[in-house]
Amino acid sequence: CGFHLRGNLPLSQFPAIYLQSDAHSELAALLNQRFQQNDVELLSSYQSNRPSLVLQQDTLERRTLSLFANGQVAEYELIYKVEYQIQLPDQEPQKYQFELFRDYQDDPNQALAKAQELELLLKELRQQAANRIIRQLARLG
Amino acid sequence: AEPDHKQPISVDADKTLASLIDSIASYADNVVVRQGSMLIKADKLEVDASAGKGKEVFITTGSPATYSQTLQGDRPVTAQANEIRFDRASRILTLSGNAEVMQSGSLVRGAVIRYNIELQQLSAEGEQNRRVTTIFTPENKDNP
Amino acid sequence: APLASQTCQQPVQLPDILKDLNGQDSRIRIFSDNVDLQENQSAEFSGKVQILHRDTLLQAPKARYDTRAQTLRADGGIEYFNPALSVSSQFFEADISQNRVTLGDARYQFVENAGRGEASAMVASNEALVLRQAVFTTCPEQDDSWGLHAEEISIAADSGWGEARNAVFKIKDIPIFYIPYLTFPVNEQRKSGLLVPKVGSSQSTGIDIELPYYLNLAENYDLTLTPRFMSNRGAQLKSQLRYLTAEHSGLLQLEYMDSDDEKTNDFGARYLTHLTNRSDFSDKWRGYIDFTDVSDSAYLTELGSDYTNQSDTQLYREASLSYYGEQVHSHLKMQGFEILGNYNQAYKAIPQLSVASAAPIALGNWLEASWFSQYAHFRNDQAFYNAADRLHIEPALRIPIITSAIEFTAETSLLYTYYQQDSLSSLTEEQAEITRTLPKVRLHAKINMEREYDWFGEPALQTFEPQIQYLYIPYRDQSNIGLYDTTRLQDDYYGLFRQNRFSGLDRINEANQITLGGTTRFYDNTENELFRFSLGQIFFLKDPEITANTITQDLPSTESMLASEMIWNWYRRWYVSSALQYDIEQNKLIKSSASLDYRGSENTLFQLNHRYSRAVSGVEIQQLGVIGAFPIDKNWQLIASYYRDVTNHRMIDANIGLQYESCCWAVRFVARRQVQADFDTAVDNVNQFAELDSGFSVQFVFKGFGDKAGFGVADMLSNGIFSYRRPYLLTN
Repeated sequence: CGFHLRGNLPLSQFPAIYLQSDAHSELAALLNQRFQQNDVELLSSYQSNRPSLVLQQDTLERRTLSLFANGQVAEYELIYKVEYQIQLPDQEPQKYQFELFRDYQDDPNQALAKAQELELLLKELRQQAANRIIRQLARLG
Repeated sequence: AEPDHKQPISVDADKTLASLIDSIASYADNVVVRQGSMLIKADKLEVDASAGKGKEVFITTGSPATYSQTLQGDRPVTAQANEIRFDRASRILTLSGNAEVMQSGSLVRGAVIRYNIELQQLSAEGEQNRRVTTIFTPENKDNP
Repeated sequence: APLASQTCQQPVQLPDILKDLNGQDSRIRIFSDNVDLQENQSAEFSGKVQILHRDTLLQAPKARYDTRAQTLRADGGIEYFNPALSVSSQFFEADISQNRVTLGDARYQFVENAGRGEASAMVASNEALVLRQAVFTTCPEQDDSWGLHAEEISIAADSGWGEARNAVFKIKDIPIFYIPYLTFPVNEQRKSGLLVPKVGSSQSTGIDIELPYYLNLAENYDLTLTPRFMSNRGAQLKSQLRYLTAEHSGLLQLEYMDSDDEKTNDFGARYLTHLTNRSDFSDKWRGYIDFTDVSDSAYLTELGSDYTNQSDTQLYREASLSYYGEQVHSHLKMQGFEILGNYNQAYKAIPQLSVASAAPIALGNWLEASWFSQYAHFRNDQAFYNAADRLHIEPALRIPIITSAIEFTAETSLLYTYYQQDSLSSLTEEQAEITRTLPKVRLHAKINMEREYDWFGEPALQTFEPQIQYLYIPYRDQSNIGLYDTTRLQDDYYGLFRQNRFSGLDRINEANQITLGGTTRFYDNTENELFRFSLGQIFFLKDPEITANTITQDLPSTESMLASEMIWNWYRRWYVSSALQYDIEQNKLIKSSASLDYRGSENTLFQLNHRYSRAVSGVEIQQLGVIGAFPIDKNWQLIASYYRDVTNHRMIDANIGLQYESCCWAVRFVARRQVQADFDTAVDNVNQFAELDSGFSVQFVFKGFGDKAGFGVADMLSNGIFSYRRPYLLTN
């Protein structure tokens, strides 16, 4: 039916890249891991003849989705917002922004356990965000 | 030393054409007029002595004619213009045609500039499309 | 473009000579018809005089320059320009060496933003611009809708700040209020400055007026004091301190109310404290604090706060210290909660120390190792196990093979956990001390396939990513282990591939299963993901033991999940989006959400949204929402939103907003009727509905006071419980 295995590594056209982000950003750590897996060399500083990726912002927000009959929040929506900028050698930097959503049910009876669930969801959202950025980079090459 | 205007004026040039009738002497090519520290260089010079000894008017033209003099307190003044008229008696220079006068920290550029050497006063006028440009370079220490 | 920049802002025409000014050039260049210069004393200029100095330009009929004192004076019709300001005035004096310029009865206009006004005297230097007997407004030329008349206004050059002293705020020359001292931002750098009074009402507060004052304490500290008067309840003071230094950044919010007329007088003061702080002590050590406390459970619903949603059920508290080493990362965390309403008290983790490998450790070119360990002490006086210590160590070996077509990971890990549990009642040997050791094997492969397809004549991409995972975890009886930070995770498509179906570490589910799943995505020609469809199923090679006390019985343990998400720019400005989760095995719809959107111009939108969840804490939730916003004319804008609880056939949130926006000010009237969270009723008590509270609010904004935000349609819609989420092309 016309499907074929993806030909090249998604980032084969980027032998090296410079990633700039907040200190200790977990999203940046995930991206670094993916770059290494795709044998992309990580530069320690910006080089004008090399592509650069700047993680400008990654925030988690919460929005009420639905209420119980007693007016309390039944479902929240976790909104993981990522803003980043890709600059290819001697080209203008391009800004990107996307949001990832997950439903999340709060339960006041198990506050600590739900906080752990929130942390797990955030880890999964970061994995998805890293894949998303890599997919965007792959299309730019 | 004697102030400049008390000193004799000497003129050198490659060619001189003296004509005694109307008491105008003219010189050409590498004309240099000197009086103490005052120095005028030009291509042509006409000296109009009709007003008598000590009141001659030196009219020099060049491309441009240049003037320089060191006034008391050794502040040099330089100027240039297409035509420089030096009236010995009144010690007034009249520069016309792309006239420019530079003194310590200030430059004036205009169509006609009258410069009174004794009083160190200057007045300039522009023409239709060329206005007078004045540039001051403040010497206060902090600016680069 | 938004209203403001279409008709209001006539651009300031700057003489083109300004283009070739250079800030560093310290010479003074003067063009004039004639000059009279007395060597190093003075110079008189006349005839259309233009004076250029650094990046400023002065035009005047005549001017006088005193070379010795280095002052320049001019009078008559004067025009003065610098990069930020254009001024016309009658008198001008410049002290060149101090780089200070003074203008007499000046009319000024900011170049970048919309500020303009007059001043009897105006002094511009490179530190600040000071105006005396001044008027400041952002209204366009002939429009004097409002003006700030002040004895002195000073605008600090680089900080983007304005300060006004002895100011009177006038609307069309009617003095409205007197302000002894006020700061306002000249550009959007900081918080919107003169936070304008908010006037509103609600059944719980009555008339509700807030008068915020903004104080710019220092370069990186600012304080906002907001006295608030509620006719039903009395006076409250809210204060917010923000700080941003090289190492520390954070916010401290304190709200205090001495007594509440609606409460009995022995009820005492009502307060809220909220602190978030992040400190980077060094490039390896980081501290973080997030703390909220309120005096009583009903504080949030009755008085409201910007820091928590009015229907939140618990206040989160955390203090943590993190170390980011080369080899090792460690986090020491104290975590606790204040529960609002009558729910069981939650466990606190005081402390919880996790230490893990900073990054996978390569062993040869295929194998990599990593390790995770955690010690935690839990405490909860109301629980059976009122205190417990838990030590968990988890070394893992992994073989990740990433090629373009196939991503394969083989992973094995050993989970060792040791518990010491205490209880008020006596405990058996097995309850007091438990060790649990579990091996885990996981094999996961994902195949990336693609094909081109035709999207309205343009080449577009469809991907198909099948996944297969084998997971093996032996059964261990964990019924004696308390549930400290563990609960059953919500089952959705993502859950099918998780290694543990519980959060936390106190339960590790048995598994001897294969999970098959696949996702296909359609991209349009510009790489936006249009449609995603995922299907997955777990096949048990051995049926898992029925664990005695599954925490929430009602959550179906689904083994096969179909999930689809779609967003489709169906027709020009119309969007349809839907997300669906279906349990194939039990043939039931678990969750669905759909929305039909129309996105017109900047402030025209319509949305119809529907949401269904089969069981949220055992309760069915079905909700319908309608949102609309459209401009009535150039200045008037209407917004409306209505949410209905379909299961219980009642309205839960309705807002009507009318907004008048002119060039330099705007007013917004919002009427709303919302359900008030009632914490005393249990969530599944369906016949005890929370009452509805209606309210009305008027909000003024004087635009250009750095207050550009806050008047878009989305902000207007944020008054309701469910803020507006615009149709966003599928996102992951």
